[in-house]
Amino acid sequence: MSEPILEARGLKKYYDTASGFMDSMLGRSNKVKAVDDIDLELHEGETLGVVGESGCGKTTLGRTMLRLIEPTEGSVYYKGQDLTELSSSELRDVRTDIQYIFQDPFSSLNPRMTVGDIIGEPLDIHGIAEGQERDERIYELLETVGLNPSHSHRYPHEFSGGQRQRIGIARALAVDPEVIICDEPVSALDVSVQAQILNLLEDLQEDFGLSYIFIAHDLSVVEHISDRIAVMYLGKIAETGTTDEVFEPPYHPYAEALLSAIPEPDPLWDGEQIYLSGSVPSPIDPPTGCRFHTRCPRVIQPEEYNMPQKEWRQLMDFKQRLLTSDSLKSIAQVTDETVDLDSITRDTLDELIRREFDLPMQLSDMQAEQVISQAVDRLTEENFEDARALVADGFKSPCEQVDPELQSTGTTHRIACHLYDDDPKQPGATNTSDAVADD
Amino acid sequence: MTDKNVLSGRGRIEITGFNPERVEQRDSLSGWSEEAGRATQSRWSRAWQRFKRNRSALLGVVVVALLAFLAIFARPIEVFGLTVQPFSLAPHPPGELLYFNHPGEGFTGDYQPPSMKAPMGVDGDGRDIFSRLLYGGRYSLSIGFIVVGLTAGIGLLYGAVSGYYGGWVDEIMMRIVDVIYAFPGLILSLIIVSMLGRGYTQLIIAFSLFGWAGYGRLVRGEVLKVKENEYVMAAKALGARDRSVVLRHIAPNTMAPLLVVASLRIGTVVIGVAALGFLGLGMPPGSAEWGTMLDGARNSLIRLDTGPKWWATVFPGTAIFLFVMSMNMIGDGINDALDAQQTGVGKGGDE
Ligand code: SF4
Repeated sequence: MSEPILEARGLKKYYDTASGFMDSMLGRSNKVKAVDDIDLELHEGETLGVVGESGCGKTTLGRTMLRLIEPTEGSVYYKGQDLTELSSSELRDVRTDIQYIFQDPFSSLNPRMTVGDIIGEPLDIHGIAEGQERDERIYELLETVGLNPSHSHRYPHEFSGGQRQRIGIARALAVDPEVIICDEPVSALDVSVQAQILNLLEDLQEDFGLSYIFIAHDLSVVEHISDRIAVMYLGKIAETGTTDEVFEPPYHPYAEALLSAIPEPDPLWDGEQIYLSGSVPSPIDPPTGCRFHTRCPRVIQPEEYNMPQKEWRQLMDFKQRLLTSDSLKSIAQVTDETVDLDSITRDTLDELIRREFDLPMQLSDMQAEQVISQAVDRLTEENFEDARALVADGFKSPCEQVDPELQSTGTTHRIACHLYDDDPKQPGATNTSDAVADD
Repeated sequence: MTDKNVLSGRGRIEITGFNPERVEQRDSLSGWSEEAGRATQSRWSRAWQRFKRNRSALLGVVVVALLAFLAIFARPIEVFGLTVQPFSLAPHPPGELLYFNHPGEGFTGDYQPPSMKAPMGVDGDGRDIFSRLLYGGRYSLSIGFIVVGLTAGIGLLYGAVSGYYGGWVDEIMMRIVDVIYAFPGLILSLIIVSMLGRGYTQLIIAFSLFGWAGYGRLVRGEVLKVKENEYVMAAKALGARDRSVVLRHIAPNTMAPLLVVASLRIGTVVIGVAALGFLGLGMPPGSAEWGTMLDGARNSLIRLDTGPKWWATVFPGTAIFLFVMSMNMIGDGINDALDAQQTGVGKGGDE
């Protein structure tokens, strides 16, 4: 393929959580790794879909690529020119080539300006057109995005969400850009309107030869519009490839879960929706190793264990909960009020914990069973310290220890997951006690 | 509606009690039309519509306008020896001693109750209170407007810079405001006047030097709110410079609360000026400023030997009261007009 038109190399954006100068003076701050070492390429005329749950850093990624937010590290190349090196006036010129469409069609248009002035603003800033010519250009743009040119003197609040998003698109088109970064342009709209806007974007791409980076939070939206897709999780890319590759196995477990969440119109389809436990962990202190291991349904078992994958997942959940809590109440399922956690017997506690985490009374792996029953013993004595040490040591997935690199699994398809590491014996296997041996 | 001709000859339905002329001639219900929309039916003009319907605010405007009119036309105004305003509504110059300039008309150098010749009476130095009252409006009104204009302007700039740049700049600028806030405003003005001495300019400086802090804080808060809006980010994405982002997108969206506070503050400043005057720290003694007039007549309140000289204090006091009251009614009117406007926008503004 040709040289990419827009390319990110090792892009990072870390935020400081310090909320004031007292905080930073006292060193009370944490780094939020919103975007952590991301490589992306966008080729001319193509659409790259960037998908991830909210909070995974995809909006930050889009904005750092445009330097709307200054990146902490890394470079963004536009036609070979490093945007991070540009002065602010040079950057201003590049703004005519790369544009941005915002998610919220309500807050992205200044309520005090008429539609004509909103669309005319980029024309004024870059001195593209004046007077009569400016008006004509505005009318033309309104028509291009399917609005009535006579509406140019109206205010944004007089329009519906879909129409406002069209205004936003017209504004982005005004400078005649090459690349548009679309930040969830349809997620705030009614489903019926979404398709219209997507179609409009596709038509515009054809007419003006645009390249899009299309940010979305679910795969169904990008399926039709994207040529390639990058799946993001907690500031990192989990999987990238052409749309077909991402939609076909082998899957990254996260992408697989996202795919299974797409509503399927075929009633005979026997796929099962994969539910992810918990929500996206905070990027302030992201999980070690593979960032997805706290929720991954296919999280790898240590070699010494052999149990059904589901059971192992529950054990991992149990471990995470125990590591972050110090009261029995949050790890045991108390349904009836009569149970007094302070004077509970070992067996009842055992039962309550297993019920909370859906674990069988007898784990299928003897070794694991031993660990958990010892941990319950400690918990009965309210000795959380030792219980935590026991499970932390006993239930240690290889996924927690090593951060997976993006591995090629096809010509353009790359996945960051230990299941697809080069040397394991059976790459892509689901129930793998032995898939990973490299740690 | 279809063409009338198409319908002619069809079964005729006669409608009674409906007068089409009235419908055509009555005021339109919504005030919105394609034309009105074209002529920037902006939020300001819609707020103005709302303001016009507010009786008490309009009353306030009338009173303030009247007071301003009387103050301006009280005595002739000369600029560099050139008379720009020749009228004089006040019968006497404010400092004129009636018994001295109009001997033989029954004036003495002491308090005299209202009469035909002096409708509000004569003060302890033998000056016409009515004339002084009209003329004195010049001090109170002009100080009020100038101080508020200055402080609001400085505060707008200060707050906009502080809020827009954020970070350390913001931190330092807001700590300065906190320090100013630690002192009561009137005490600060009092200190400044006692350092600079009495006088018109001194009073303006006294009220302006620290008076902007409140506006600064207000504007900063608004800017922080407005900055969150994606249209600010959008303007940057389009390549707009900081200056034009602030001027075009941020400042206009913070104007509404600033205007409300400023209009309410005029009354406060006028009261403050009068208070300093009453304490003998405002204008030089003997000048016709309302508060200073009250100060001059203070001894009349305790002089019981000749009976109370109510006119010497009641009229200047009423003037202060009238002006401040009217300004506050205007301020409330502006507040209502703009607030209602804001909710209108929030609902989608379907006017
Ligand atoms: S590395 Fe492990 S935890 Fe991460 S996605 Fe792959 S299997 Fe899941």
